[in-house]
Amino acid sequence: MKTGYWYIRTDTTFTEEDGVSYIVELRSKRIPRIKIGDTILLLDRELFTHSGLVLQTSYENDKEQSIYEKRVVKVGDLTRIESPNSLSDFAYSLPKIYKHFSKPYRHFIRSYGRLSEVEVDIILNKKIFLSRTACGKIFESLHDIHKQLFISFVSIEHPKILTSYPIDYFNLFEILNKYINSNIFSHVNFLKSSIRIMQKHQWPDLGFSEEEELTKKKTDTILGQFEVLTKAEENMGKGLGFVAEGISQYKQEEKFSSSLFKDSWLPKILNP
Amino acid sequence: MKIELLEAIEQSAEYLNRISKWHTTGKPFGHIYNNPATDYLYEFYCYLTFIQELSEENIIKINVSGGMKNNFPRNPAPKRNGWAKFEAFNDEGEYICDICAGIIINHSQINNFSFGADISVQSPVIEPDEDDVFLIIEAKFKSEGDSIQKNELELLASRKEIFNIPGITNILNLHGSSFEKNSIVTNAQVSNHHAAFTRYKNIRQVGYFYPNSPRIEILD
Repeated sequence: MKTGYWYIRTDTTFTEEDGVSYIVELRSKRIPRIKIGDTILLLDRELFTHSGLVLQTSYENDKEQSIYEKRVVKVGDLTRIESPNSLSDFAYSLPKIYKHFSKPYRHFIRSYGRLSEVEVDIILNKKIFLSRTACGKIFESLHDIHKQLFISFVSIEHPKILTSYPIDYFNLFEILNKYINSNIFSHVNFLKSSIRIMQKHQWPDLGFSEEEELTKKKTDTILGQFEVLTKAEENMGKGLGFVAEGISQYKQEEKFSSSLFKDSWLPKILNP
Repeated sequence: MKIELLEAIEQSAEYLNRISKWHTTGKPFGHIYNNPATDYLYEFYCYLTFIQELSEENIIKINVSGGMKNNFPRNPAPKRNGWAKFEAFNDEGEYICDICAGIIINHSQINNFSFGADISVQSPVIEPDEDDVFLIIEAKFKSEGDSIQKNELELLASRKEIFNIPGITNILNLHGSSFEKNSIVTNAQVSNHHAAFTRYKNIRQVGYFYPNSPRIEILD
């Protein structure tokens, strides 16, 4: 029989650890398909902590499927999985995660489940699909209106991206970067310059409103926004330019990754 | 390297998540693609820069005592609401005119015919019409590489004529400001192609107008 690949969650199962192996109790009516010799990745909440092999199972001779009872799996031959090892790190790199990109644990909700050999290879050898990750995470971080507008911007200014397959994430990231620079960062500069003028003349904080908003006492002020911005800038990291430069170094390597995903913006039948 | 990159991606995402919306209303922050009605922040930047330039030669004070307190309208709105504004005073300390942002100008002879001036110098009246406005400035945020369009110049010229906006004023010293005439201003390029029209209509194009611009361009 072929080797199986599985994740087992150690945070939702009853597990005992003795330093060299984990004894995991799975409660299920069905006899688990996990068998001796299979590869296991242990998942503790959001983190893949260890890889190992199944040394022993308690249910080899069980015949009855209907009895709800403890099924014990002993995982040994452990190797610690180093960072990057969180589900979030792999959110855009594992085919298993096809929907809940910002909450990838939703695809790992059961106490154990199957992985593919490719996915285990991706996790253990850190074959992160960086360009897809960059596009996905940066896109998801934007205000909903900006998300919609970015799609509309791509479709009007760069329609070829929409009809090509597989999606060229390097190119897409460049377009996203350009969109953010010209539509958001430019306005950050307008805000900062406005603040400088206001402070120089010691004017009070100024804001924007609409007639109907005033009753709700909801106004956006220049100083208030500047404070949010200043706070956010404390931890803005190396920026989109660094990311663009960084991912471009993995262009060759990622040909493998893009072969795993059937990403296309349009249903195949509509593609020319 | 991959860890470093992942971290940079996470941090950029977190940063953008916080700054791509306005802090109180949650409205999107930035230019809304293909929707010029949302470029109030660029208009505001041009407005404050203009006020700063005027302050060199004039006495200008802010007035936030109206019904809308310290707020400017996000979209063109009637002046009677009492939006924040700047007021100019002469050397004797007499209040001479208002410098407003986003105020609707009516026409006393034409029903239902008005426009929202991004920036306007006007008499201190509550319902400004064609007799009250001295100068208007239209601010256009554009994508890099774009330029002022013919129809935008035509619109400015026709407003100037229909609303009788002289573009000069002897009560306020405009000398040395970027906007000494009725103007259209953009962060992108002016239209050299329509230089003759601009001159003929006695209006002004101001280009590359953005913070720390190395080359603000003026065409009139």
